[in-house]
Amino acid sequence: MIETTKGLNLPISGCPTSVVDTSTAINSIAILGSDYVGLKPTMLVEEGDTVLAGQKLFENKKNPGTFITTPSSGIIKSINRGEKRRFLSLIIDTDEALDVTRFNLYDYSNSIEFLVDTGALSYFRSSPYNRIPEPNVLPSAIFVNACDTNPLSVNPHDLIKENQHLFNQGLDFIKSIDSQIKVFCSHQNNDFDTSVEGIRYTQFSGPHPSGLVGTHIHFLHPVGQNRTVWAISWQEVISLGYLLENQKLRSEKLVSIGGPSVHDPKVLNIKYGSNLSEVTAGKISENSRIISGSVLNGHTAENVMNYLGAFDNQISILPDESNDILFNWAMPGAKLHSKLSTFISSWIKPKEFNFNVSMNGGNRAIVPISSYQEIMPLNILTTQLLKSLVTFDIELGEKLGALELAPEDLGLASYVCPSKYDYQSILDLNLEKMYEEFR
Amino acid sequence: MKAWLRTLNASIKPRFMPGGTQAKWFPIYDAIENFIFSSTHKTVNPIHVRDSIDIQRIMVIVWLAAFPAMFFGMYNIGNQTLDYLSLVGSNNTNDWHHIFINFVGYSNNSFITKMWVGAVYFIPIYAVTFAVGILWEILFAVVRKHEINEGLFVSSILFALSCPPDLPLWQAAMGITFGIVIGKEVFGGTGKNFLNPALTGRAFLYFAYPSQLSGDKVWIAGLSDTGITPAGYSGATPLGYAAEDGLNGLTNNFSWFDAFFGHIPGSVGETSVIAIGIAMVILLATGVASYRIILGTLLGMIVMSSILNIVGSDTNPMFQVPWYWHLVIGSFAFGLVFMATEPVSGSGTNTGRWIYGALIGVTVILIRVINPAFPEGMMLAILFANLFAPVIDHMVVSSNIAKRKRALSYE
Repeated sequence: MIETTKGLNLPISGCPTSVVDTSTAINSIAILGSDYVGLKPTMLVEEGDTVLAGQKLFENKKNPGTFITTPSSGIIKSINRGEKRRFLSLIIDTDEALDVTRFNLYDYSNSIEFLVDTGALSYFRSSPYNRIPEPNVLPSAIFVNACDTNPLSVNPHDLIKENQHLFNQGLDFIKSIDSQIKVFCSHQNNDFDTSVEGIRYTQFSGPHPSGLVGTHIHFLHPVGQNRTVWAISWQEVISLGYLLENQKLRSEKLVSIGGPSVHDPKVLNIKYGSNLSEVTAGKISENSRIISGSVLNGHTAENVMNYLGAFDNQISILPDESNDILFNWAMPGAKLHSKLSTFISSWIKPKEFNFNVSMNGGNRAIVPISSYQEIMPLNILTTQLLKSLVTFDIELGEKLGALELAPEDLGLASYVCPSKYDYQSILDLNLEKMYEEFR
Repeated sequence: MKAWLRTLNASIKPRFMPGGTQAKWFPIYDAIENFIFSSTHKTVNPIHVRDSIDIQRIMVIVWLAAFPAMFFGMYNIGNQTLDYLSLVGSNNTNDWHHIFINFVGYSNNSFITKMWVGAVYFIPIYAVTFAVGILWEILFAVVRKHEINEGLFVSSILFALSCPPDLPLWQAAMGITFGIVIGKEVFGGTGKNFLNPALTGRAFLYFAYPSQLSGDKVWIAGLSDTGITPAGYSGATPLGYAAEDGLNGLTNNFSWFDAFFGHIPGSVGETSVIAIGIAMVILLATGVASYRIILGTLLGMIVMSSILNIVGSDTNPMFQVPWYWHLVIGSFAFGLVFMATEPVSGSGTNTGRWIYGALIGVTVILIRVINPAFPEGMMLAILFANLFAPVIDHMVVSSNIAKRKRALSYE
């Protein structure tokens, strides 16, 4: 077991239970461009086309031979682009009556071909650079993440247990991709099923980010310029198992919904890419911000992005309001959460806080207080790394470990930053620059 | 009240926004708005919740932590001055301060008169420091179009507390000007300075105007005006005595507890280890100051002074002064808690903070004991360590990089 002590669990009220609700009907889904780093799509379909689940929607021009397929059948309603024709989303009105594409593993000469053709290669993300893997470059290891320590997340243990058969089938398949590849599976519970042979199971415990795959990779098989690993979440391992067993893509996933504005926080069985207005209708208070993903690293559901992200296993709902306090610098702050003990709340320790979307301060230059290092369990000099990222010193950033990180790993650094930097977006830009320079 | 303020704010805000008639004064407006209202900005993708802490609150904590030292300092000025004045039997030295002191009188038994005398000396220094400092902040903020940083709250109070009580006000203005402009703003403002601004200003005064900032005559307010030093009275600080006669010089004139409580001549806020200790507890409990720097400095000082105690010297009596005296005299405690722990100019790595602290602790003893020119070494030791902080961090970073490389080459 690997136990980390540094980190921070945000005590947000409205934590979901692992009760699964299957009653939510979804009629609109989308594929979001922001889910795939470095994506440049060549469209294979047009608006108005009827597509069948498993059909290829577009090829990634930047990573030839990789496709995104649709998880559900339906009619393409719109393909939305933003500034400079950047691909934003492809929206599909789903139709359950339509057929689906069938895939049989035995029709393919190897597992990678199967993954490419089904689009299931996009279940994986390669590290470093956090992108869809290149099909012709095998990783030295594959990390399966069966943990979740994000704020408002559900421990996936119970959900995996209900689908243990599919999960283990998925693990078996991953192990069979290539015998040279080490397969790690990280989990959080003592009674986790560790029965698949050849899988290196490791239990992780500790505050967030002990459940992020970046943490697991760092401790078990660190990556750098010359070593690539793939990462996949428990959800997609179940989907892989489902694909093998049923010869069609799994169109639904288990997603938790939680936060101070949720009436009944629980787990929902909804479609991949679900429209979040449909998902949340009747379940949340007025004037809420709907976030696909974690509050530390998610996107606001609005306009053409009002859909569940492909890798998001949770929906977080926060009151869409900011704190309005006179002379706040002099107030004790019994209801304000902080990592630094400068509020009375750090001493009276309420169990939960009603978080909202308040920025809680203005932008300033970085002042290297101790908080940055205290939330980082990895052997990384956080303050120095953050400074190198902010100044786009990619040589130094690489040496200090930037390639080991994905934006989600810096969620807490942005959270505790008193100068209100957004280190995730800054890391994204740095990784993009590194990708161009180092490869 | 809140609603009324909000409406008022909403009506004047457009004038200061881009395109408004007063747009170039936006930093001033922004500073006042931030002072009264909490920021109403909302988070944006991808980070939706934010810690309640901001730089403003961090700075206010340090500012408030300096209050015990400030109030004790005022009391101590009054105490020392009134004792001195009654000793020489001359109440009014015709200096301008006495116009105000006359309102309350010269009783050296009353807490009120002591506080009042202290306030009459200290508050003008602080007011001038703050006013001049904020003018420079505004000037730089307007010209360079950045926000006014709350760091000035801290720099100004620490600078004022580190001055002698009888400092001419124009020198206070010069000192804080040098500290803010050269120590901070030319490098881009708070967060980008490599020297502690308050100390930079204080060091500038020390070297530019030594007659008002060193020697035996400047630590009792009024002494330099009368110029009278009765027999057996010098007005020197414990450090001054120690430099002359070593440990005997200290124990003959002060008890250790006097120095610990702060009933000694010295800079305004630097005499009381108790008041500074309260600040230390606040800064450590809130996590604002680094305990590593504080412990490192203490260890460095204790080890170095103990070594010198053992080595000994026939010609230099300072060698005998033990560490527990070094702790309570001069500006050691004040510098330790308020100046050394300043995060921006100090070392930024955890390992580096220990080394940085130890460097301060060792250097302060070397300057105090071995250097004949400067009886006080804390200010110079911290500035010296400020200069070394980037080198220390560089070493720590290099070792981390080497470690990372080794981890990656395993297989």
